[in-house]
Amino acid sequence: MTTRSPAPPASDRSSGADAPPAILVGANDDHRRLIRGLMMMHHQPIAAEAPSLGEVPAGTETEKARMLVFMAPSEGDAWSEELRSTLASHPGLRTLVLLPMDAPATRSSAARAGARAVLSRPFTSRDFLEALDRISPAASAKEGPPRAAAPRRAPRE
Amino acid sequence: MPGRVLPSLDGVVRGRIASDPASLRTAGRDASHLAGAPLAVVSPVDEDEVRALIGWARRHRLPLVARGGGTSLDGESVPSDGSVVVDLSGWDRVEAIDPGERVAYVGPGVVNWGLQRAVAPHGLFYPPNPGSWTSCTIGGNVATNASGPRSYRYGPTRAWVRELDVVLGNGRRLRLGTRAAKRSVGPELLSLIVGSEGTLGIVTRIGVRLAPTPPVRRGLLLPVPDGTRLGELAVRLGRAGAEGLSAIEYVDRASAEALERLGRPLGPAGSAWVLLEVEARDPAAADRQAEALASSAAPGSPPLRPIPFENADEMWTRRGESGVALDRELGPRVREDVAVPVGRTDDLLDALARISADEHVPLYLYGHLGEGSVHPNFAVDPESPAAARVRERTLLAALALDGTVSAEHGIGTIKRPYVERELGSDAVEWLRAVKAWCDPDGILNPGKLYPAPQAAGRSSPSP
Repeated sequence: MTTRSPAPPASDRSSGADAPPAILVGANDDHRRLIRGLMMMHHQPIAAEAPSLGEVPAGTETEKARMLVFMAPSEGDAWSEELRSTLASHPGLRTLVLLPMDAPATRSSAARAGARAVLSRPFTSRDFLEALDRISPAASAKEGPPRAAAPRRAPRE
Repeated sequence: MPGRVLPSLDGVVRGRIASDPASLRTAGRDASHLAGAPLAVVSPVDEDEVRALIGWARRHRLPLVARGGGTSLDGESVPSDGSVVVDLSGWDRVEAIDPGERVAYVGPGVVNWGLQRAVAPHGLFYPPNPGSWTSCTIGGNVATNASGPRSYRYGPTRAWVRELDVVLGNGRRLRLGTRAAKRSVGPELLSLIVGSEGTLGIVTRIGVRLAPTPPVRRGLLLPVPDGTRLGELAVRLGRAGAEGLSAIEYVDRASAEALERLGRPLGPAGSAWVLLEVEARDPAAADRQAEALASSAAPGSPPLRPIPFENADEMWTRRGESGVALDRELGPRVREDVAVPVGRTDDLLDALARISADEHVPLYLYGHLGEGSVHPNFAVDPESPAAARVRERTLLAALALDGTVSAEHGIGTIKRPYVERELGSDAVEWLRAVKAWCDPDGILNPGKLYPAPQAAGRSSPSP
């Protein structure tokens, strides 16, 4: 026998987890892999992923994104202007900037560009997840400690 | 009120003490659908503080729940309401690597992938690579005796832990294990801590064994035709690849399609896949092994043509994202982790198909085929009566086939009622005695692993 089950019809599928989708941008493949893993394991949907802001694919999924996780490159400072320009044209994108190291001037650049939260390496998975929670549009709707996730309607054959 | 004692933590821990909503929300969840409401999240900075924290918790009778990456799947790291979460994610330093002894010493918060990156320049790797390896921690791996695809050849976490520093719930500090390559001095107490889900002590330092990186690693995808007896296939592949086969994994068509929709495809659309990893001394030897495996997969027929997957680590990352892909599409569901002897895998898969059909619940399947270890995902509200039936029938089917209710995820809260069924009442009594000595006040991760006194022994339908 095979264990294959037919995929449920598209109309019965839930579109994603409770958290609004995010775009993940960063040039370093290894760092992006780690951040992607953290986001996925903690039910944070990723609408699009790219090495730089200019390479984020256009499309319906990207348009649904409400959050941006931006990993600033370790060299150069052109990114802050690019980020500012992106956020000016997409003001609804709540942004977390991850800096390669802590430097007050770089933090200020990120804040001026429109970042709602800034984390500098090294940071822990907990630091990252809490920062993500703080910028999430869903966070303001939450009160106090968590409740169990509400099950979604299960698709039927 | 427990909240009134929190200010007294200031004199116990120099590290961060948080009780803001974002911290509590983040620490209250793991990768399952479960959640708890902790009182605070505390980040001790050294072993002395862990010991002081345990003393404080004993005085105030408050539960402590150790936490690493929070990637457990059965509620192992979900805090009980009113508990204090001990955040070890900041203990993320690879303290020492000894290439000669093939050992590394790490803090419990080191991420599995980070350890791999740290030891790779020495020509070494750490074999257990769970699906969540880009975010799970070595401390969490120890707590659940985690495995991964390469455990087919290398075994689970337990086989790779050489030393542990731990502060028990009774406040005693122990260094378990040995720096010697082997010893024969009574039972190995270190093994009691591995898989204990933070219920006996808090691990503060881990010495892990490392393996030499093979000269050539090759990922291979084999398309699986409909009607394939997967257990038989695994046995054939195991025989054909005895020389260098390090993983035999499986992803069914529906799960593979979910990965495609996530943008993380394994191979061309429309197929179920067996994923293999071959280790060899040179590319020619890897080619020969791949041919032998392809021939064995379909004896008497034209050999299946395996599709090379350039980067084996990336292949395992995508395979590990199968659960994430289903999270995205199905949300909370019954997500199991059973294993049987490899020769009985087909019997288990038949039983799972029957359960799916009887209960009218779609089944998605992936797992570690070479070890008879599979992760059936049933698309049903996990709190529903149907879910309870599906879960019970699945677990009992595994036990009836001489298998286990948890191959690698652990017990947490969800599978506590089945521990006594698997281990027997005498073994559970022994476990309780160990727990009582190590944690006399029951402050460490209460409500996990050990069956509640009346929970076991319920009647149940046959699988």
